[in-house]
Amino acid sequence: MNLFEEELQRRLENGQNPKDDGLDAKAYQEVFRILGKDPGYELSARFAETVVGKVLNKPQTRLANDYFWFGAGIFFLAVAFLGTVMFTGFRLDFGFLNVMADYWGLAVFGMVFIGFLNWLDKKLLKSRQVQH
Amino acid sequence: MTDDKTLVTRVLTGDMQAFMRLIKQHERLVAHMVGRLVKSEEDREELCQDVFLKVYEKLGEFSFQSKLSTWIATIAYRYAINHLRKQKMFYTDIPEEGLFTKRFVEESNPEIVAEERDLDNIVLKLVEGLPPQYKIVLTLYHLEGMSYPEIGEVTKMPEGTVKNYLFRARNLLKEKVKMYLGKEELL
Repeated sequence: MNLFEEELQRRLENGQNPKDDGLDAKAYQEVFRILGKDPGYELSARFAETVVGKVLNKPQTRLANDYFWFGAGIFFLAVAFLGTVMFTGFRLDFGFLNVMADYWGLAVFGMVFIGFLNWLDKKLLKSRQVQH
Repeated sequence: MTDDKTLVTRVLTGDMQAFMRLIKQHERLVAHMVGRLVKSEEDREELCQDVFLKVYEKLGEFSFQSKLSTWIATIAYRYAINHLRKQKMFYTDIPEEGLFTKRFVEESNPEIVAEERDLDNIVLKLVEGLPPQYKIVLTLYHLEGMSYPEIGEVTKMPEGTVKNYLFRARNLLKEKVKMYLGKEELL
């Protein structure tokens, strides 16, 4: 960087007049003045209202999309399940539950514990949002 | 003017009047940033809308580590450069300094001078010909009154780079203005 130019810019940044009155100083003064002027990039008069309108309409569109994909997901899952059953000759067998019968206490504890974690998660998340 | 924390809390509780106020307080900032980088007026309006939709979506994640305006400017900056990338405009590379300076200063821009007799308009048009990084630091510093660290936070540029870009951009414009003033003095 050129020290003379740097000094000119620094003085103008600090709102001081440049010591020099040459063409460089005059030109910099003009540049600083013009750069501070509003370039006139106007948004439409009802810009804020349009954005708020989009926010208010968004959940409905999003909900419809969510329902569509939820339905499509179930449909393709069912098709995949039926296809798998047909091609593999799968037969339903609940024999594995006999093994679990000895550990029913653990299974109940697992379900209660997962439920508790979910409750705690929602509680903490909500209080954090309110704090913000 | 409502302070940032109160305003954000009200928006998060679903107060749309508060969100409208948030938009009105920051639309000038977003319009300046997007306006400096995006030429098409239609794209500008749409991009500014997208910025505020993102602000609404992500407001819960705002942690008050910076000013709300700085955080919004960061989103606007990201949207504007993504738009430039989609338009296949080079953003990351600053033209080689010596060559660009020579071309910028020596180019006579007769069409601008012929169209605009007013120096203010000539300079504003010349700003449009600068690389996007220069335009954004000029806008944030001169129009929004942001400090070097704030500009660095918005653009993710080191403070030294911000200072350097500001210096070079003003220097380029000064050279052109000097030529214009020199001609005026001769008349």
